Amino acid sequence: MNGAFGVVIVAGVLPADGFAVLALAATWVLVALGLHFTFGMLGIVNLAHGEMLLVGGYVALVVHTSGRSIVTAIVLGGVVAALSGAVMDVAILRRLRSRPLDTLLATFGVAVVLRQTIQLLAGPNPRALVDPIGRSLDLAGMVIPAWRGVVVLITLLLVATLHVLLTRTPLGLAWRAVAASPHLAASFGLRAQRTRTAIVAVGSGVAGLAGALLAPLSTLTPQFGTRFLVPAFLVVILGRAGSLKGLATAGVILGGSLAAAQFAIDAVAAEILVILLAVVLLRLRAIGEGRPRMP
Amino acid sequence: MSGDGPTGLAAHGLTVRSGRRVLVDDIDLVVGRGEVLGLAGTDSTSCSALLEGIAGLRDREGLVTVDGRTIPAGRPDVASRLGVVLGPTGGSTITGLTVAEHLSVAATVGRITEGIELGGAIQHLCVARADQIAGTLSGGERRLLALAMIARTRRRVVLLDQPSEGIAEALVPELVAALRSFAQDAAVIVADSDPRLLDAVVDRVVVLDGGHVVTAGGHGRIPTRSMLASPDHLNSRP
Repeated sequence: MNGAFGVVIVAGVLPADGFAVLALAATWVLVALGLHFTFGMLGIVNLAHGEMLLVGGYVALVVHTSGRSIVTAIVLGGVVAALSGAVMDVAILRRLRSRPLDTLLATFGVAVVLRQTIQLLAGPNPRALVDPIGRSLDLAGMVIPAWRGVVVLITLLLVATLHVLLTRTPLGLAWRAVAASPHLAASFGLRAQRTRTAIVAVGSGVAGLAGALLAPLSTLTPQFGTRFLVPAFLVVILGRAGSLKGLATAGVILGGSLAAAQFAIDAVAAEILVILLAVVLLRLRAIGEGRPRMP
Repeated sequence: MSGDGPTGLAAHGLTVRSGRRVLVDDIDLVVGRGEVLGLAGTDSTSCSALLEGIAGLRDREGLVTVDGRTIPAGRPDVASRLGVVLGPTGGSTITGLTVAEHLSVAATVGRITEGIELGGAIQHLCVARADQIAGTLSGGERRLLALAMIARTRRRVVLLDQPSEGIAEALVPELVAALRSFAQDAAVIVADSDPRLLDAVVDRVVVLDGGHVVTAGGHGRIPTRSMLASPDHLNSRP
């Protein structure tokens, strides 16, 4: 039902603004993908999610400025964010298992530390990561950076890869087992602590990758990550925690309608409308069905 | 090292706490391979704590060995590698995974693909309901799934917590048969006070009260339900 709704919204504005809608929808999915791992699978409300995007963006900037290729820069952005996530889990979150509220506060602390560290190192002024392609596409009068198209493709690729990893491989099965029941998984010999750290690292790494991919489309400031936090949480909660298909659907609905509403009305009204839409859709869903598990 | 030879499970001075409460207090246990030990008691929390302590899933004191090799506390992975398997209880199936995926989880870890022959109802559950989400199974069906999972592991010590709960009368013989086949190559501890089960498969029974062993004996001394309900009848705490 949700999927059909999304298609109607997207189709409603095709073809003229269709690509822009698709691009924003993909952005929302991309931004939420990492959070899907930490929140959707482990129930960790990771308020440092936005800062993982920030880390990815700045690492990519620094690496690219030092003369490496943009691909290396983006990949390293993801890797450093994944390492940050792993360190955060081992040093802090691992001690707070089954204490969701303390975990939330701790990730808030990590977010502040990461943000301030980046501000100290890179300064508060906006920086720009150069557009890797630098050309624009002219789609029926709409001029869109070609990089947006690449981001859409990479998002699709990432979702597909993670889907296959989670549903078709023994590793993914072990991850899902640990996420669903650490105790039971442990009694069948799975290393629950290690697996949870790996999941947090993958979530953070995907967020870092998202940050690095999205950085060329806007400017990098120490507040770069913060604005993605609300969209990411909306998509993950609406997309039924734990299901990649739901995540993609929710991203397309919310991101797509935001873009559509931006064209139809104006930017501020569109944001209000999307929040309202999320509230209504959440109420329509069976209560409990979409509620994330808390460990 | 205490034990009745090289094979089986031995626990020495096993103590498990929950906060300040002592759930299992300095217990010695020996279960040889091929033997089924019944664990009964008024407090099922203590029984669960004992099993989880052995499986390394809870902090504990004391020495636990399998075939002479030590299981460190808090290392369920080591316990699992040594062949200790704690059967999932009814509520704790991995709810979001399918029946088939549960069996793969057990088999991946157990590193064997071929299980032992199980009863018809269990086989039927594994085949006909393979794609059903385990969270939607009934309590009794989850117990059967747990047995099928255990059957797929490379087991040396099988620990079962209340396996008869939710099992229909007609399926008790299947549960009994499964326990017997586990006992062929493992030491088995069953925490259950169902006399249908205790009478049929259990070699010895240990009764826990307040974390202590209050009575231990063979078939002739299996406590009745009324004795379990009011442990004062038993020769109480040491």
